[in-house]
Amino acid sequence: MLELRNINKRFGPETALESVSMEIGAGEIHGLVGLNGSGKSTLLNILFGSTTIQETGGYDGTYLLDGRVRRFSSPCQAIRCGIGMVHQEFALIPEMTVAENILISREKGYPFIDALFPRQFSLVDRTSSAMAARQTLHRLNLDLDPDQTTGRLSMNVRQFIEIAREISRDDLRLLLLDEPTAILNTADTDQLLTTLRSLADKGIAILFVSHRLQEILQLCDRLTVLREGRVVSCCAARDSSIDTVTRLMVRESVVKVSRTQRHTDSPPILSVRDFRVRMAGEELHGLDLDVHRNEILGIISLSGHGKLAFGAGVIGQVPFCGRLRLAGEDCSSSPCAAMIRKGLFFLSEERSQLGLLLQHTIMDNIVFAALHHNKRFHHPHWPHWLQVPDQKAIRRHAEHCIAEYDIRCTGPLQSVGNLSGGNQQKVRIAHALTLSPQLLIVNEPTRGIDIAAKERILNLFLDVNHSEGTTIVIASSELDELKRICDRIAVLYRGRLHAILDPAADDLLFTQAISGEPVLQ
Amino acid sequence: MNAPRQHIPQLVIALFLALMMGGAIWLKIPLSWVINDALVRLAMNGVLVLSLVPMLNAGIGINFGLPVAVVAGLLGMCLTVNWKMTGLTGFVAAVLMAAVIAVIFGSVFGRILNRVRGREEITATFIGFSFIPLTNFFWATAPFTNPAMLWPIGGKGMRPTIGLKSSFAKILNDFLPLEIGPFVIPCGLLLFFACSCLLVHLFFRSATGKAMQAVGENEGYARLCGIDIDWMRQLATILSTVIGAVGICVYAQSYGFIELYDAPMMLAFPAASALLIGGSIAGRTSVLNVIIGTFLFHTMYILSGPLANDLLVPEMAEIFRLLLTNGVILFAMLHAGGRNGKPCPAM
Ligand SMILES: Nc1ncnc2c1ncn2[C@@H]1O[C@H](COP(=O)(O)OP(=O)(O)OP(=O)(O)O)[C@@H](O)[C@H]1O
Ligand SMILES: [Mg+2]
Repeated sequence: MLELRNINKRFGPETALESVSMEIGAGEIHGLVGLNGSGKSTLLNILFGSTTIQETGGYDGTYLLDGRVRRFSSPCQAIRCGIGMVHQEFALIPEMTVAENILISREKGYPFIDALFPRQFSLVDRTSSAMAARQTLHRLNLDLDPDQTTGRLSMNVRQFIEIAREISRDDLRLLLLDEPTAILNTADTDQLLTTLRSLADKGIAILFVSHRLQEILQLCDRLTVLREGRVVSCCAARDSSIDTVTRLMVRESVVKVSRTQRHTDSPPILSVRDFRVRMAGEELHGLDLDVHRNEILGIISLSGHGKLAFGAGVIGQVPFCGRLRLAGEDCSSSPCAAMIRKGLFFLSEERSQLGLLLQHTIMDNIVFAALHHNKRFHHPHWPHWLQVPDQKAIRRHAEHCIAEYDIRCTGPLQSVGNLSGGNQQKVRIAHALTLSPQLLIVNEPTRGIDIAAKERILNLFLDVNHSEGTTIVIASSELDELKRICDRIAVLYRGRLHAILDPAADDLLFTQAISGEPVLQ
Repeated sequence: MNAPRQHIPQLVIALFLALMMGGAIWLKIPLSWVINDALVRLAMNGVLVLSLVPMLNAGIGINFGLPVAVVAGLLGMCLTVNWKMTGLTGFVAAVLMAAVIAVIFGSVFGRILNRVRGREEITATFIGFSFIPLTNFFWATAPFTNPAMLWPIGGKGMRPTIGLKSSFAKILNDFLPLEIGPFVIPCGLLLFFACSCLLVHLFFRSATGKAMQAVGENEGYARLCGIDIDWMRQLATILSTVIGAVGICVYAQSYGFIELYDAPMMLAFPAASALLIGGSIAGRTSVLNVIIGTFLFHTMYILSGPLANDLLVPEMAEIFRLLLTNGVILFAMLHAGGRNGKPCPAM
């Protein structure tokens, strides 16, 4: 059904894709894997006719859909040919409601008016649109009011809405999914994979990008491995194992980090009591939790049960009620700036909206917070209050970070908007650790990061925790990662603390706790 | 890699300007006159255009409330004229006083703008418009005493135009003039403009300037990084107002007159036009945009007059002039706003 022959894509002097050829048949689920910056999103953008591709000079090669040569210059044309795409950075309209977003440009009209006027003039029938939206959400097992606006919803809910938008199309023939599972937990992922399977059984071809090899092998019929823009292998998923795919991607095997040292009873650096955060889709309804100094605390929950709201509430991004003590002081109503001055920093799960200055350089992004909150990058010859940045030191530090985090880029002066998703995430982590806070709260730190860089970043967390004594709170949906690096894991259920488990506890216990069954401690 | 595409409007306007220049030479309009005038107008208007940059980069938008800044400058100058300070001292005193008044005006103005998030440009326009009648009342009743400023008859209330000949007219223009044949390069004036540009440029390289730009680009991010958004926006407004007040002093000394009453009303528009022609992008406007824009805009303005005079009926000159400049602005905006007005990542 889909055939690509010798696709080449260059961004200025850089080659992003080099003679990529592949085929996907109807009803096939095709996996696409590769390290950060290996060109996965670029390939999907080409298939979807994204405008960025045109603006950066187009591509070479032949793109055949059903045997006909295509060259889309805008996503509209691709959509008309039955292609749907779920973007790595979401493409939802925050001001519109869930139903409007799902059914965008396919709203249900009144049959009477539709009979009289062309489609463009049809009057939207809100009730039947909401019904249709609810049905789609139901197919994804998502219990959500279709009339709320999307902008305030949490990340994983939005991920589902984005998927719902694509699968609710009747004319869908080829579905492009760019890391749809990056922030979903196991239960949600399984749900999604089942839905995708049933779509494929209806004859829809799916191209599926993910860094989780397990699910790729589980779901896909065939998979293609990209390395530095070239196809290094294309094989049936049945015949490959995680190990062989890893070796194809990275050229070496990846050593998984894990820690041995465990802290137990240092005094709490942060404690919250009856902590309530009204973050739509991720509310906390009275959380009591202590974070001990020097520990690495994991927070896990099903989506919608509040793990992402903890950090957002503590830093003050979203208002909260309840009591909050940071380093022994009561900070129940401090603005973000005051919290940061007290040594707290928060990395939200949002990457493009709250995470980066996309038009600025890598260098500026890495040192941004540090430049404001400590004197480290101030020029030594000027008085500090002038805040003259020491460009040389900044550049040196940025180069150091690029090497240490393995950020794939052209240099510290490249603008962050041009980086691949995973590399942007690395820049954010470098940004947070450059500030060297006492307490770091990170939501989904490894979202979109490839298997090799993930270990490197987890290792860095362990390093700063060990050498600088940084307390780290990680809210993540990756139980496996949390188990490897945390000292304790807090399980939230319905916005409350359900249990605190030892990382060494077995998976079954975790599964029970996460789904709200009582656990014996 | 987008760079050449992005600068198309500037290139086209420059080409058009070259064409006009050719026409001027062909019509035997003296080149020296054009160039001298262009340099003077660049520097005398440049500071006013520059004043828009902080607010634009902080994401507040174009400062259509420029009249507020201008009134601060006018007040400063009127005070010095009233106290009969002349020469360089007079000018420096005027600038300093204007700056102090502008800080006060700017902080109030900034506070108002912080309450109208998302509608700053239109609010600023109306603040500017409603400020003018208020100041008109003030000018008509102000207790100034220097008879050179008051109505000759009755001796009360300010004149609409106050000559600066006896105080500090042309003080910068005539400072260090460099004469090369028929060309006179107003070094003092240009130097003042260059220094202002340099200061603004350096400010945006400091940590505070970077924070201001971050607020303009992504407010949520800036807040999460612990930046006081309201204060940054207020600071940007104060800076814009102060630079604007200084700008009108430079303008007035070059022009030779202080114009009161309704004169400041529409000043924001040519300044905004110049900036747009210079290819400014909201949040990432650099000093270079200011210089290029002011130069293109005002040189075009200078040339269009005599060209229209010679080619068309003299009465058409002003109409032609307006048609041309506004048309060009529209062209620049169309180009900048093309592709869904998406800001280009590469500058
Ligand atoms: N707009 C752009 N301008 C310049 N270079 C770009 C642009 N977009 C992507 N690139 C470069 O193209 C390469 C491939 O990027 P791409 O986004 O396709 O990676 P990816 O495989 O999706 O990685 P990830 O797993 O991190 O999402 C990267 O080196 C990136 O820097
Ligand atoms: Mg990608």
